[in-house]
Amino acid sequence: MSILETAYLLAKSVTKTPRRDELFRLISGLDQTNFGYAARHQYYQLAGYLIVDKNQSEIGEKTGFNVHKIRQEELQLISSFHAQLAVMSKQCVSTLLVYNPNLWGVVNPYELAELEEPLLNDVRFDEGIVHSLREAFSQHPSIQALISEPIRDFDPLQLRKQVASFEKSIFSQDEPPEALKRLIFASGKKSEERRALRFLANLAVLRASLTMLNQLIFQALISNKLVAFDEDLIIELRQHSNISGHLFELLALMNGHSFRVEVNDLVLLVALDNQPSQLAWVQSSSFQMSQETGDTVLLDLRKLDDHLSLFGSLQTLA
Amino acid sequence: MMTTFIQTEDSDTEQWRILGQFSYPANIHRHFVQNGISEPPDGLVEFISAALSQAQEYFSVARNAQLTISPLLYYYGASNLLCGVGALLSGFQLPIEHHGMLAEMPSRNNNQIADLVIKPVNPQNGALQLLANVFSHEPEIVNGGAWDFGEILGSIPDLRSEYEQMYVDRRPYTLPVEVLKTRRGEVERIALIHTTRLRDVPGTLKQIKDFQKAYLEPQIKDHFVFLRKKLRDHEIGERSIFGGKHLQLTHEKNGRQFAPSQIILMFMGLFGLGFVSRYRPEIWNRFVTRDETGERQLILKFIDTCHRFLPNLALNRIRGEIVQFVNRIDQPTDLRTSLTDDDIKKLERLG
Repeated sequence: MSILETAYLLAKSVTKTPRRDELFRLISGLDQTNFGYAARHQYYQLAGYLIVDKNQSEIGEKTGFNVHKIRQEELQLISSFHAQLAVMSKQCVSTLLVYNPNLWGVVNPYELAELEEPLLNDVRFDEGIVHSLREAFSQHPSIQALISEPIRDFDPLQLRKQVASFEKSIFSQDEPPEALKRLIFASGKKSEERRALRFLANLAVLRASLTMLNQLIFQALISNKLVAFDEDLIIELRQHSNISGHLFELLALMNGHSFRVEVNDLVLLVALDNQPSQLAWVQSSSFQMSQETGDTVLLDLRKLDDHLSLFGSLQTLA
Repeated sequence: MMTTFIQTEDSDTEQWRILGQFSYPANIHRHFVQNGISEPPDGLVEFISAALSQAQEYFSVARNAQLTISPLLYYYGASNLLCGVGALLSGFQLPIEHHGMLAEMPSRNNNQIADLVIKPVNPQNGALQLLANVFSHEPEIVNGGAWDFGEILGSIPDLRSEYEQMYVDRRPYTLPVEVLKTRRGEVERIALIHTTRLRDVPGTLKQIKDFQKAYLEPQIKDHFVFLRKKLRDHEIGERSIFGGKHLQLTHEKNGRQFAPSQIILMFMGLFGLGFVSRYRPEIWNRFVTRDETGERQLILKFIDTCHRFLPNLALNRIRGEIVQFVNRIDQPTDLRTSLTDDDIKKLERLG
C-alpha cells in the first residue's frame, strides 16, 4: 500500500482511539474562542494549542486578543495526542535516521515550534497501521534518494533554515523561482549545484510529507470528515503543473456556514470529470463577500501525491 | 444555445423571409439532408411548404385585422406555423386531428379575460400534446389539469411588468435574470423585488425544471438571489425578444409541475383568445369596445408579442440557436476609451 492509502487507513482508525471524542469536543469548544483562533494560526496542528498556552500572555499582547489559559487536564489531553503524532512522525523516517540521526532536526515538522520533546503516554494509535505506515515511508523516494548519496557534515539548524527558505521560495509564488528553473534546466545532474539542490529538495519533500501526514491525522481527530469540494460547490476550477507541483485554483460557493476551510487544511476534490478524488493542501484562501456578485472563496491548492508530497516530482527533476 | 445576431431594420419581415425559405421544396430537402433525416416523401414536403406559406399569410392578415377577429387569425397562423415546423423538426407529419384544448369562460360576474379556462385534452391526436412533445418536452401536458389565461400571460417574459401591474393578486411565472460577466466567470442574479409575490423563494427556484442540474445552491442576500452555474454547463431558461434571460417558474397541475416553452404558452393563449372572439362574441365585443376589465393593453401586448416573437422562436428551433434580430449601425470599433484584454493584463502586471 502507498503512503497515502496507509495514511487514509490510519485517519479512519484514529477516530476510534480512546479519548478521541473528548479531544474532539475540547478542540471544537476551543475553536470558538480566541485561544483556538490563535492556535489554528500557528499551523502546527495540536502543537499550535500547546504553543499558545505556553506563550499565552505574549500572544495576547501581540494580537490584542484576550487569550485565556486552558485547564491542566485539557492541556494534558492535547499533549498526549500531540506526543503520539510527533513520535509517529519520527518512526516514519526511522530508516533515514539510522543512516543519519541529525537529519531529524531538519525534517521534524515541529522542530521550529520550540516545544519540549514529547513523551508518549496513554494515547496510542493502532500499532499495526503505524507499523505499515513506517514500512510505506521506508520506500519514500526522498528517503531512498537521501540514503543513496553520501552526505557531508552539516549544521542541522543551518540546514533547517535553508530548507525553510527553499520551501518559502516555492510557496510564495505560483511559479517556481527562476533560479530554481535555471539550475534544473541549465546545469548537469552531477554538478555540485544540482547535488546540493537535490539534497535540499529531498529534505523539503520529506518534511512536507510528514507535515501532511500529521495534518491528515489531526483533521481526523478534530473533525468528522474532510471538506469535500464537489460539483455542488465548485464554481470554477483551473489547474496547472510545473516543476514544483500540481496546483489548483478553485473558486467555490460560500453559502453561510456550509464549510470551514483554513490555510494549511487538507481538502478533497471529489470525482470531477471522471477523475478519482484528490487530496489537496490549502496554500492560500481568500473570501469575497459582495452585495453585487455574492459570496465566494478562492483557494490555491496543491495536490498531494501518493507519498503525501506537495512538490510533484521536484525531487526527481532536481 | 449559441446566439446569432442578424442585422435588420425590420425584424418581422426578416424572420418571415428566413422562415419563408422553407416554403420551397428544394430548401426543405436540403434541411432534411443537413440534419440527417431520411429523404422526405413528396406529400410531407408539400405539407410543410403549404403550412409555412399559410402561416405567413395568416400572420400578415391578422396584423391588419381588427382586434375583434385578429386572435382567431393568429391562432390559425400559429397552428400552421407549428405544424409545419413540427414536421420539419420531426421528419413526419404530426397526426393532429383536434386542437387538443377546450376553452371555457367561467360563468360568474366580473370575469376578466385572465379567468378564461383552457383545458388540455386528447393526448393522442390533439395538437397541444403533439406540439408540446416537439416544442416543449412536456410529455403529459394533458393530465387533466386546467390552465387559466392569466397563468399564460404571467409566463411570457416580455409581459412580466404589465402583468404584475394589472393583476396585483396573481403570482408571476417568469423571473428576469441579470447576467454579469466578471473576471471570475459569469454570475446570474435575480432582484429580490421580483420575488415579493413568491412565498418560498428557494423552494420555488428549486422547482424550476432542471434548476439543480444548472445551478449551485442559490445564495440569497439583501437585494439579490445569486446563481452560479455548475461546472457541467447546462443552460436553462427562456429569452425575451431583446435577449434578456428569464427563469420559468412551474405551474402545478394535478400534483405535477409544468413549465411549457413560450411557443406552447403562446399557442395555448392564442387558442383561448381565438375561442372567446369566435364563440363568445358578446364577451369579446364588450372587452374590445369598452375594456371593462382594464386588460386591453396587456392583451394587445400579448398579441403583438406573439406576432413578433412566435415565428422567431420557431426559427430558433429550426436552426438550433437563438436568432437575435438587431437594428445596429455598422461603424468603426473605437478602442480609444475602452480597455482590451491585453490592457488589463498589463495593468495586472503593474499592480
